[in-house]
Amino acid sequence: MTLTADQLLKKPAQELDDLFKTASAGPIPVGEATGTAIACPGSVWARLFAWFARWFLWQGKIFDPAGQCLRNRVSAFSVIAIKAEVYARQSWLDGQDCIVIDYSQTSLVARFVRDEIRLVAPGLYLGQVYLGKNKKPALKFSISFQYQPARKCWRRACAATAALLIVFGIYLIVRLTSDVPVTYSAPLDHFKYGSTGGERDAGIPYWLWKVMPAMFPEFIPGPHHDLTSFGFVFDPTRPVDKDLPVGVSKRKVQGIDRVFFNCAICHVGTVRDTPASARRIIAGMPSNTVDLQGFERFLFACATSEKFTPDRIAAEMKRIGANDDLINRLILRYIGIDLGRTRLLFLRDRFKFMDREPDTGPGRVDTFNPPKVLMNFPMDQVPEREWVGNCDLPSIWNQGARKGMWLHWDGNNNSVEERNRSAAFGTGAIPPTLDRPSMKRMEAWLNDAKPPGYPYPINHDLAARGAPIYRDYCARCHGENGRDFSGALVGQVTPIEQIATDRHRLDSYSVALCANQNLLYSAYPEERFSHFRKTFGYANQPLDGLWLRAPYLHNGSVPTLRDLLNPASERPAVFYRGYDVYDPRNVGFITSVKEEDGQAYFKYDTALPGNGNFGHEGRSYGTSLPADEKDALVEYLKQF
Amino acid sequence: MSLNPRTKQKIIRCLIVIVILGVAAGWFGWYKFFREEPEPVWANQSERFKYGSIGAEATRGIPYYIWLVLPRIFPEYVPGPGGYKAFGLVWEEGHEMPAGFTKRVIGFPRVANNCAICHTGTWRSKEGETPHIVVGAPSHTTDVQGLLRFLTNCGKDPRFNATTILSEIDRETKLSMVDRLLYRFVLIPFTRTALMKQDQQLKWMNRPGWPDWGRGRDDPMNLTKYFMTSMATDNTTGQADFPSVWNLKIRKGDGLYLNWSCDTPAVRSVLIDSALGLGAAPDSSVPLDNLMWSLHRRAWFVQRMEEMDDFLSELPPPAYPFAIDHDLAAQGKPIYTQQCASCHDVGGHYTNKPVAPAEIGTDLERMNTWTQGAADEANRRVKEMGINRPNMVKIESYQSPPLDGIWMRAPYLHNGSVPTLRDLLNPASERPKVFYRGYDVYDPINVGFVTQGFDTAHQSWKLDTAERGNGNQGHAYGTLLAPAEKNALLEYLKTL
Repeated sequence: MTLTADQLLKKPAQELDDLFKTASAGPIPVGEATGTAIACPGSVWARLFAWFARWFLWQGKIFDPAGQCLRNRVSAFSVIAIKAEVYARQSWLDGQDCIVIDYSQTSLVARFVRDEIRLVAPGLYLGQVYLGKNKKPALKFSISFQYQPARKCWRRACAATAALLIVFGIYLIVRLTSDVPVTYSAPLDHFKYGSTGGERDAGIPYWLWKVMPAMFPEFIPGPHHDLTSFGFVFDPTRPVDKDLPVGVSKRKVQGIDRVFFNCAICHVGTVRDTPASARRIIAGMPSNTVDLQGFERFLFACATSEKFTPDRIAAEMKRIGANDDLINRLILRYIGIDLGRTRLLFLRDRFKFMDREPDTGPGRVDTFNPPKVLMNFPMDQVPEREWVGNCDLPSIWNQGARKGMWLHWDGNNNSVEERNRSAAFGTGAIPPTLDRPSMKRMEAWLNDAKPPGYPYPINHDLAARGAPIYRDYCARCHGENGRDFSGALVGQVTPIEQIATDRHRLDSYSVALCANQNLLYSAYPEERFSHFRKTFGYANQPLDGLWLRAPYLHNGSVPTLRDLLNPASERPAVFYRGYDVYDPRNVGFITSVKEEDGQAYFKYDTALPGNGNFGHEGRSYGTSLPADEKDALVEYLKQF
Repeated sequence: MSLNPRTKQKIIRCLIVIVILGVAAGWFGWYKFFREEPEPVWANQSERFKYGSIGAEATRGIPYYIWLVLPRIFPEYVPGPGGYKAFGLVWEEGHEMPAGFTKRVIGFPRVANNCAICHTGTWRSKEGETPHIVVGAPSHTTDVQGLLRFLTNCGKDPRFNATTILSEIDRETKLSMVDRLLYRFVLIPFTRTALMKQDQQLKWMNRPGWPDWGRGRDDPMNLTKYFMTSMATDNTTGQADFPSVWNLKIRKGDGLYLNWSCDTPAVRSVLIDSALGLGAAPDSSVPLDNLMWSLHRRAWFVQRMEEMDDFLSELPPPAYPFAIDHDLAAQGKPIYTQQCASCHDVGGHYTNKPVAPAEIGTDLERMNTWTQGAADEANRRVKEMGINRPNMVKIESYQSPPLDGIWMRAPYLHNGSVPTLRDLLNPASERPKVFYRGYDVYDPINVGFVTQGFDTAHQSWKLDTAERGNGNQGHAYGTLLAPAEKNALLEYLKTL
């Protein structure tokens, strides 16, 4: 029986070598031969490899009629390419005659390849492949003239295309379902830069984030036309992604790097000792410089610009060095940018309500009107008393010690975790996208985070005189001191009639919103919101890190502690917020600076709705104390 | 003819595969559409009354996630900001569902209603206060008609489609691939069809110029006629105040009647018929529902009604929460005995019994909505469902109820046309012609709820006594008393 190419596959390598050695070179063939690659001969892989090679790599050889050279059929598409010279010469294997197929002079890709063939059966040549100068064959193959190969090129091409498409499809599925956050091992870094999962739904493509300030400087106030104009804090100690501000996290979703806020955007602030000093970045303090509303308006303005087109943005991205691969470029150009624009315009429409309240300015947000938007309340029908919800960003140290207290300015929730999930909506994290393990890590940090001590000199004698005053006037509502939060009324709500501060923030939180919040996270029974309540006053807070929590009161209407101890009539009626140079005398930030190096600060007018600086005054609030006692109390409070 | 053994073997193999596939499909269908998860263990009967199932989920249950997102997709059909809360629902802080709304898994989580939708009320002493919830009180803040219209309006809207609804659901949960497909191809289209059908069934109440029910009221006998008995629409309108349902034991007895015009002679019948009306009844248009009903739901339902009867019979009326001048009340007692007791005191000659319309003189529309024919038809239907209960009747009269917890039952008269007890002691000509009802801040001076001086647009509904069925005439008893006597009587009524 005549030997066939198939049978060669089944023989072990040694047997093939023996066969090769005993065979004669045979004549230099002419015409087309079907090729079979032989690797791991004799094992089950041989057939598989041969099949794979036949489909995707190499189908055979076409010998020139003149007997001088040949060409191969290669690739999945059976392209005729890769020329070789053909001549009779001694074999590297045994020094006897064989036919050598030499690529060295003729082919660029395969020039380090040398094949030798000998006739082992009528119409069947067995071949050895040498790579480089190595005289041990790396592979074997056979070429067969035993039958005329059928013209299967088009079928093979279709099948190969389908196979490639499947492989590509699998790649796309893997890529488009990918979801990988940039992670930080240190808990503090994780708090400042880690992801809450918000990028999954709300994420802005990284390169779009980068391109917008470059492309729309006209919408950025201030001298630099970059994100520092919104008071964003850039931290040189950030391990990676130093070009993103604190409070902005990154996650690769569907193969595209996306960025969005995390908790730190509102809860990391800065302090300078003098205008010339370096900024101290302090995690857990209110973001005293960050103007989120300004940034939101910037995004909305970009989306309305006629420049916000896929073409122009793509061009600008290229200019600033975007290194997205082709797929991402295509996605952004044909889907992403339009989608982003639609989304921003949609949000712009829904957030119109903010135009009817005074600007928040840096360090403040409207907390409880956005959840109404989230549930698509018709905002135009919301009663006017709920319109203004602006309030100061709080510090978030020592959350563990706050467990069970009534949280938020109006004390409407007494679960730290639920309050965190509620705040996480602000970072774009909705129930299906919240990154739970990541949140857990942040919460662990928050539970024990401590404020930094007061860095300026303290007059300890004066402070000692302030201690009894604190005990008499403040401790019941604000705790024993900055570490010990015990006190009969700490974390409880003082009725609005009694505290008498501006009631807009209180009224912005409505019974209707409270009712609807019960449905949030209902798909995740353990996490469903069940601790919200409607209150009728403001909650008494512990005073840890008080020196960093200026300006004071829930709406940030009183610049310094010393001002807070004055009756409302003597508190500043207009001042400037967003400046981070400290005023150790009065305990708070300097609020008289309108502008520094072209950067304008926010003019806070206490006459506007929601900005009232009244309340928390009268005999029991210490505003009638003699001046020296007020000074003593302020000195004592520096230690908190 | 005997089969070739190999053919036979093939046939047997095929049959086995078919049976296995059939069983798998059956299990899947059961799991996804009929599997009942047990209800949570209720802390007490009050909780169960507010949130527990009365068996309406199987036929009237809206898929939970659709229910959840509807107000977010269709805020224009909600009367103001606040989602479902805007309908004046009683919604306890921390509770997932409003009182009167049940959430239960029958294949998938579904939302339906129970008795508390109309029979759990709230009061506050002032605006800045958390509402006090009173189980069994009339839900005087709740706009049931508004809710019904909201749902049917959503169903009719072209945006009630899988794409819109699923994209909103995606913001709340990650549905599995299977559930997603079920929502897309089964639940959303079926719910839509059901809502459109309900819209047709409710056409009668949406006739142009027809009086609205408003907050705290419905049209109970027409609901019974058109829903339970599918009778032809007639020209009657019978808006009626939700009654209190506490202390039912004093409403039981031979010759005693319930419902505003003595339509039912027994507490159990009222409970059963109301619950059936809320959707506990089997629905032959729902696949397999009659089978499920006779297999186990009926027995469960009858048992549930018995337990509810037991609970409501013993549920005490709420005590008046504000100060009472006991001396003044003592002066009022003899006036009550003389003027009111024969009709309203437990065991009184007319208490819980029919009073002729000519005698009482109140608005006739409610009485005229019910007929003997309707009663017969309703009785036949209920019997058909395999439930035994005393039959409904038709008596040309209004019923004279006992006054337990009367302070919490404002506004007064069967159609809720008189805001306070003080107004009720005035002749009809001096009673308010137009007032706002549905606000839950209490007015201890006039004994009733405050009817003006608040955000009326969002928290109440305007009742116009000139509309059909809203007449505030009649029940002129005590209107001729001297002012001091009226004060004394009012004070005494607070003690009931």
